[in-house]
Amino acid sequence: MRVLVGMSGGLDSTYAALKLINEGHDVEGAVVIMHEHTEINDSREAAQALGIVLHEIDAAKEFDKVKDNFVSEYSRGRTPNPCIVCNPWVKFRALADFARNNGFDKIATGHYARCVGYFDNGEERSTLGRARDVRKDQTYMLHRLPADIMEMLLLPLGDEIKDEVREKARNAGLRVAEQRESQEICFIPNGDYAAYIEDIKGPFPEGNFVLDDDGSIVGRHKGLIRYTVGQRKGLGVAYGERIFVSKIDADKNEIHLSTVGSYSDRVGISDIVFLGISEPAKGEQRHVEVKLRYLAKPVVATAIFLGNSRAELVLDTPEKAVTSGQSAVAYDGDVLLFGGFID
Amino acid sequence: MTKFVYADNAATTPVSREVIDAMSVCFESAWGNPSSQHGKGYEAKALIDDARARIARAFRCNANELYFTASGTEADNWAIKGAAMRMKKKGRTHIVTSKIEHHAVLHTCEALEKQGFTVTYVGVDEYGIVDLDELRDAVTENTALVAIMFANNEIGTIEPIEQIAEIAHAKGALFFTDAVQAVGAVDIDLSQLKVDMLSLSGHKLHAPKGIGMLYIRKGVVIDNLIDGGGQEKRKRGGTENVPYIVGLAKAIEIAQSRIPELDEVRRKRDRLISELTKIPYSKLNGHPTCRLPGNVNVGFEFIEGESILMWLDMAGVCASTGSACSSASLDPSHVLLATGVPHEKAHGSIRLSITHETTDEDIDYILEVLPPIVERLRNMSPLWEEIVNKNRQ
Repeated sequence: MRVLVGMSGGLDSTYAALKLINEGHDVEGAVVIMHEHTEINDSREAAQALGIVLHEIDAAKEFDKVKDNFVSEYSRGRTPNPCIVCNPWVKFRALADFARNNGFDKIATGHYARCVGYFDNGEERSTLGRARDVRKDQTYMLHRLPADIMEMLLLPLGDEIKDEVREKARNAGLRVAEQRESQEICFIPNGDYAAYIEDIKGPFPEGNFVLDDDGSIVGRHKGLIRYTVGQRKGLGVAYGERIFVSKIDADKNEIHLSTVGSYSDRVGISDIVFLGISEPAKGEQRHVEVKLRYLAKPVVATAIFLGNSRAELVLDTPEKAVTSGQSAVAYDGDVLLFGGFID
Repeated sequence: MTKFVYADNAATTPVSREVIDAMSVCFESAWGNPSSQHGKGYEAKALIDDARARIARAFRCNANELYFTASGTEADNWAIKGAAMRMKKKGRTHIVTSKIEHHAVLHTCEALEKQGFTVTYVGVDEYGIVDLDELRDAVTENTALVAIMFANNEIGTIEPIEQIAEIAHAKGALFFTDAVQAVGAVDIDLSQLKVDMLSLSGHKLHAPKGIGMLYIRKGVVIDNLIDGGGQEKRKRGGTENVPYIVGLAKAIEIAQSRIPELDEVRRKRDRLISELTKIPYSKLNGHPTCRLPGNVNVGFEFIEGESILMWLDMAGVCASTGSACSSASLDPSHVLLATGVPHEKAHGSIRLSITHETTDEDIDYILEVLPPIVERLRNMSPLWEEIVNKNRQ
């Protein structure tokens, strides 16, 4: 098969390409240039080491959508995860389009996840399964990939353990110097996302900190984009006990604080992408395990489907700091069923 | 009346009428600051955007890969220092360059040596072509940047850029080429050329002095050299030199469109070379074919290049010994020494650099005045006397 491998130049994607070559595939590499901080020299070095061609795909225009979404989500008091939309909109889209236009059969990346089939109403669907190396599992980040991309996708590292990958790459003579483990937000390398947003939208006004416990105003916040639900440090509020951000009210420009933390047992989600199952009829229910953050442990919940790609998750036990704009991803065991944005 | 022949276009070129005409609007009406948020500013901004887009079309790259600087030297400094600083953060602290670079590159590399970078200066063969085996050995996984010129300013040798880029990229290093002499003399197609950065200078192409450009390929990130306002996508501070940017775009368009006419320049060059090397004890410096179309560099034994220049100047011919930028120094050319020309012979070389504007009559005139000058100077040379005596015996 002719396979196009997305290559960052890091250990994982390089080993993924090597594995495909060793399996006898006709492999070429591609680096997707997304923004002014994308660097291609490591990709080139990796491609040369493997003796394969490297294509450079310019997706800067498409990536602007990710930036716009990031800015608008934060401005609404939500906490977005740009990788989740970049994967379907830009990174995998660019690879898949380039692959189709240039006669490749499949695309591949070095993500830790498995491509699996799942039977739903007698029909087998292509979806994602959690990686063998559960600590590295990236299904959460990939859950919005559409069916036409899933069809073409190979994930050679789904059955690998990271430490073994490092060892195997070293034995194969590859340079295993690891890049900085992917940063929080790749297009804001200095990490100052608030400055980035204010640069585009102008400064965000100060406003009140409101204490949930009694409704009193306990201080002034420095603009709502600087806060996220569950945050405890850097609030600048002197209060006797531990105090958390419980809610961001963009309409009133208020940041709500709470001494008990904010627990939710009902989580609305929208704009759901269905991978393992097709969208159930309105009112249908299903028991699932759900991840409410990338690095969170899955929790047990009942999903009540509302139609129009919306659902309500009723959690068995209330969860702390459920954050608007993050994704909720639902599984049956290791198999990804669906995921959407938390309202 | 003595004739006037300008044969020093590698040093600088006259600003062309079309360039002057293109720029005049920026002095007369479009004099706004491109960063201003009003009509006068937008007018100037539109001119820069248009200039950038036209240069991008001429070189077949994206407009957002082009950054204007105040000189070729600034572009060289930015490319090398910017890449060095950026790649240092990835643990790469080694730079590879050649022994025949312009001082804008060599002295920048030396400055980085003082800051803890190591630099390898790769040698060249007798024609000035970079030794690719030596280069391959020099580039390692610690190499941040390979900086090798597109074409040499003194002897006109055109380097094997594609192979050099491949060697750099194989180890994850960036590749920068100083193309100050090449632009206008070689077709630059950045959609095919695998260079990461390329510098050029306006005044070598009939644009004014004080304008340069750096191409930074998409996917290549370097640190800033000049911080300041938000100009050039925050990568190069300083209010844009709108007139010269407009002039540069015009000059590049003309230069690229005249590439097909270079065969005519080559023919004149080769006539000069073949006639001048008929003079006894003379030798062509540089490569006979991998050579800039307008570059002639010939060494005459037993005499001083500086003396030839003086006599040529009196005859109305402008030439040079090598790089105008180092003519204040008495050291022989580092380029000629690198090609293995011995010290004493390196002193007797002159460079003639011609363009489309050089006529057959100009060539005739140079060939009329130069050989007698060589003869006259040799007759005054004690070294020449020795040779003549030896030959008599």
